[in-house]
Amino acid sequence: MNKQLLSKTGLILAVILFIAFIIVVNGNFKSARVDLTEDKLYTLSEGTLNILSSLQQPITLRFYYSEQVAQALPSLKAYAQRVQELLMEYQRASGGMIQVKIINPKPFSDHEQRAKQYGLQSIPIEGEADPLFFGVAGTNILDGLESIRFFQPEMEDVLEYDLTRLIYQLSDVERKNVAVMSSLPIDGEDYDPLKGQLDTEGGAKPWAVMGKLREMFNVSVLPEDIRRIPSSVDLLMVVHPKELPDQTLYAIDQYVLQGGKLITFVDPYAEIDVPEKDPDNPMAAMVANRSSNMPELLSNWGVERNPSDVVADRKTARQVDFGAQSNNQPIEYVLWNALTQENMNSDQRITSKLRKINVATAGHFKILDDATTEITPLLSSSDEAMLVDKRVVQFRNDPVALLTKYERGTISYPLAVRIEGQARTAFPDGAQGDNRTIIKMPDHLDEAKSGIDVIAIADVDLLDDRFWVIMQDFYGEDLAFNTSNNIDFIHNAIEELTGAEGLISVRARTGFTRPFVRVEALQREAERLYRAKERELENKLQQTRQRIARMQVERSGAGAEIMTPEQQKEIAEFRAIADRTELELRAVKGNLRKDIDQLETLVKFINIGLIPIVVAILALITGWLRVRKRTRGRFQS
Amino acid sequence: MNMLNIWFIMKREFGGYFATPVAYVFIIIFLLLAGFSTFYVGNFFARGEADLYPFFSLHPWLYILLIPAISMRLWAEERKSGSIELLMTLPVSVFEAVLGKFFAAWAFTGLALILNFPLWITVNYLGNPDNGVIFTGFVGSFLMAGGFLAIGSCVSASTKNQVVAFVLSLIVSLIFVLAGYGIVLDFFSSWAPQPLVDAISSFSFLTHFDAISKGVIDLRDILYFAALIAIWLFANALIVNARKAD
Repeated sequence: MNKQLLSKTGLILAVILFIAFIIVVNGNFKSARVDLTEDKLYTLSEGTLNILSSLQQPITLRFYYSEQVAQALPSLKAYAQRVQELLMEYQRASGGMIQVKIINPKPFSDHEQRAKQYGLQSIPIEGEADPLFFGVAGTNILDGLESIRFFQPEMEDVLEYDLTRLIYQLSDVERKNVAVMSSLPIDGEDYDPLKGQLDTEGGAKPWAVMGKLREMFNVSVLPEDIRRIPSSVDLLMVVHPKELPDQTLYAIDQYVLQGGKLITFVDPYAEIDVPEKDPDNPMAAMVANRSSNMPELLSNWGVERNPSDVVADRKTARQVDFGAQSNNQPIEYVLWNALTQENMNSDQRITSKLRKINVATAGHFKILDDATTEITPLLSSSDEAMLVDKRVVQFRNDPVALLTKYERGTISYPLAVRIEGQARTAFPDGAQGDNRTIIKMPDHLDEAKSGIDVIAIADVDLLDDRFWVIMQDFYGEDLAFNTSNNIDFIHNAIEELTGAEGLISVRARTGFTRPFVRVEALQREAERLYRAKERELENKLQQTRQRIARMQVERSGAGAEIMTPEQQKEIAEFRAIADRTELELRAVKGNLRKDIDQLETLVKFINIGLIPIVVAILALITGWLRVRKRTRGRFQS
Repeated sequence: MNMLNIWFIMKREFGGYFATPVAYVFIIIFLLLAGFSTFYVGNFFARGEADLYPFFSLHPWLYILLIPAISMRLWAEERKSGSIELLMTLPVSVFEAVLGKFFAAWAFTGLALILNFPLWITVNYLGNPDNGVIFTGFVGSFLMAGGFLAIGSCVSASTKNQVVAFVLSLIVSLIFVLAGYGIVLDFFSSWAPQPLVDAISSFSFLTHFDAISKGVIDLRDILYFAALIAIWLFANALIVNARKAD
């Protein structure tokens, strides 16, 4: 046999072997991998493993995935593989309690029909005749059904959380009863929870937070004039209590003393509480009360929410574009804060693993000297925060002025606290009812039975959709993309207070962006340096222009055709001042980005030019050495 | 197979790269292109995210252009100048020579890749990146470079003309990057059975590189690149052997 023939046969054999090898490898070795991400994003978390090991009844997960249709979408295919493998990981870790079925629903088949019955979403793909199914339906033996209608690749960060939540919902854990009381339309207007839709067209929708709460708990809404909190309520959420009647406060007081758990959101200035506009009296909206508090109860529990101050914090300020007010450029709005891990209590399970919580014009708590309870801050401002009178925001909100007048403080203010321990009632004699009668409950308590457990948060706006979620329409369904951990904070707090094992440790894994902190710091510093100057110059420019205008008006008023040389000189001087100021102002505006631009240029130079230059110099040196060696060698020989 | 022989050839080849200015020019071009594409195509600074996604995501396309330029001379040059005869008279086997040359080229590419280290420092200076993800990004990129080099090395052995070697390697590399994309798969799915189509899609460099650069080193991705390198180097050795017999 000649050598060439041998090599050809060898090559063909090798190619076949290679293809077979890749197919075999892809089919096996599924869990042989090392997850090197900092947060172990691709490994089942401890919380998930705990939930899986405590499953009492079998759960079937049907993974519907139209494989052929997905061929046209390579990135989605890779994600589908990840989902499938994660599901297998769940099956493996569940010790037989979870069974995963992978189903490829062919068009017009029973499987397709079933997928639709489970509520899964099919998506039309361009250039493909059949729609794409890519979701999971989970069932338990009690006919419970939960599904993820479609796996969004953009939500890969929260994939494990979503799957674990689905399993948790199907497991036989008893759902806690959460009651919500609010002066704001938190559950939408005329929203019918049974139908899951609005009764009237055009009414306000429920806030996204309600949908998220309903995923995990049995949620009911209580009226604000209630006389007694039902004992079946495991946790009460009081949102923006504005002028609650005494009977309600008394009901809350007794509920808490009886051992009921409470989370309350009390805000000095709730941005979301937008007053109705009165065309006859435009001032009415401005002076409308937008604050909420429960001073009677809170003071008895050992804290006080200052009624007039909001917390301004430069260190955690968010960049906000106020349009013309901020020269159409985003500036640091010191009243809107993105709290980071530094601002959260790392010893409390509720906050220990969260990364970012957005608050807006938040208030703060003062711990009273005579408090009988133990008060633990959960969220705090940085120690550079300052307090601002809320009227500053209410009557003339000027973000630039806020920034220029900002003075770094030295105190860290608690924005959310947990209150535990002994407390007495605020209504020892009962409370006054609607018809001026005194109500005193038959089982009235003067003192807590076994200590109270309350979380008070000095901000309502953190529940507002725009501070934590982006809603997107996905084939008629609202999809929520979290932009911060606000909802996780609420979920964690409820689970912690009600003693539900829950998903706290799984939730902590949701990852967010990793910004260029140094660039942000530079921006902060630049703003600090230049905003005040900018404002001063702008004022000066305006005054000068006004003076010129005034002089011209005076001249025409005097009827003089020609100005005196003195007047001409004066106007010329003012013009010169105006020109100079304008030039200065432009320089100051330029300076705002100067440091960042310089850093960008430097970074670009180092990363594009520096090493090539070093390599070129090295090449020249070695080349020269070589030439020298050669010539010397020649000379010596 | 004698490891010492492979090491000897590798050292000789690696040193050979720096005997001419070509290696320096290649490194400079690679660094410039990687830098420019990261900052101007990937918008690294404007993105404001402390990760190296804009850097790594463009590597497959950079390699398609640059690696054939390294690999084209691996064997074509030897064959053209006749130095292959000299190489074959040395007491080394064809496999050892193939491996030695390949490892030298791979180490050279690795050096070029490592010289992008200022970017890693930069991103750590500007923010708090996930360094695990960055590390796997480098590992994935290096493995992918190995895949491209193995293809190029084999193609180079089959021709005396470096330009032909360059163009052919570029085309084959492109196929391996694009496998997994709709166009390629449609062509196969019209006549090939589904498992084969699946296998072809799993042959794409992009699929495996993306998986590694997300921060997870999966045995399957490592085995894929290892097997790919092995098969192309095996073919490379067969071709050199066959040509030797000519």
